[in-house]
Amino acid sequence: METNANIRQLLEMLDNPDAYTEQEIRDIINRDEDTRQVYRTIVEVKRSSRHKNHKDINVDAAWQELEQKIQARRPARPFLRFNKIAASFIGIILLSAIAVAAIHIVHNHDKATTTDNAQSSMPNSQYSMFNVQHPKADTITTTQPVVFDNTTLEKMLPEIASHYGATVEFRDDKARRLRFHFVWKSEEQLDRVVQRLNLFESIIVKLDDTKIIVEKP
Amino acid sequence: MLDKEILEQLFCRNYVRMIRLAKTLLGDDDEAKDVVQDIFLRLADSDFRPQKEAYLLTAVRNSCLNRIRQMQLRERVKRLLPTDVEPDMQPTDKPFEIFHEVAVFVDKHMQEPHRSIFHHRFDDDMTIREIAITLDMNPNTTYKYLIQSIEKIRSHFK
Repeated sequence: METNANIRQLLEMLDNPDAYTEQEIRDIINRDEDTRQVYRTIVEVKRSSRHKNHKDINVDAAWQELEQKIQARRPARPFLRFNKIAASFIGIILLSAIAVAAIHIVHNHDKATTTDNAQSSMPNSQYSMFNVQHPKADTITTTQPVVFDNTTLEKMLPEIASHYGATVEFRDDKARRLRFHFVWKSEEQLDRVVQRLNLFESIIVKLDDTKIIVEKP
Repeated sequence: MLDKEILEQLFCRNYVRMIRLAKTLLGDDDEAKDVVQDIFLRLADSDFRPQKEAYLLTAVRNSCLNRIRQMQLRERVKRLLPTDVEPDMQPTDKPFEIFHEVAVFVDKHMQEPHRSIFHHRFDDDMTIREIAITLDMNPNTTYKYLIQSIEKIRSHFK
């Protein structure tokens, strides 16, 4: 009979634990071995109930979420860094080659005009080649644009976001599967990228600090 | 760093059982998701590729245990989580069998109104007072039936 009274007190406490102090809770559960075992049984019963009443699990969505977290934890992707370094090297080599060519042409031109007037009719092509090939400074340091062709948003956006250390939240699952043709330049500001994404009528893209939020209109 | 394709395979093959175990042990969907994500984030940063499912389930169980240990006693009791974490946990080679057996036992061996009282208390999280009102019973009788049901399960699974 005493055991039943202890178990009843345990059940009463479990109905409203806030009405008890931590010490009172501990005392009630550990009143005797029987009560302790009853509490363990209740724990097992509750686990069984949770296990039985589980909801459907969307593995794809869970994987996407994990993938975003992994990308957000890693710095800019290695291939993007490699592209930047490669572009810088190509730019430097190109500039050097053009500078050498320019010196050579100017030198020849001076020689031609001072030593032999007959050679002043040197084809203009050399001059024009000089003009055409002289690159503008910004085309040398700019990275290659990345072209996403017929690519789903769920694949494209995390890749773009990771470059800016941002994350992506899809508030509409259908938006994940939408496919776009989008050209992205990594030197663009993130808010400018978001602005351009909003030109697509089928999505609304917002920027909340470092989070890109995608919704359907 | 573990190859992304290998990680994805591991994830797709094991996620359902892992998240289900974490939810069962913790009683909170968000925390369960955190636990499983943490395990895969750690795997992503390492070169280790677990060969057996039991490894991942053990990792889930241990992470859940750590979370429970850090909780206040009141929080554990509110969620009906173990108060003495160590000896209580089941081995993870067959973690789901015992949960299933308890559910089968309740449906097979309990009569009404014991079964309804039991489901209301543990599936619907109703208090004894709420159950008594719902089933139009005396609260003392409701307590008595619930205690009988718990004792029956306890003696069966001793």
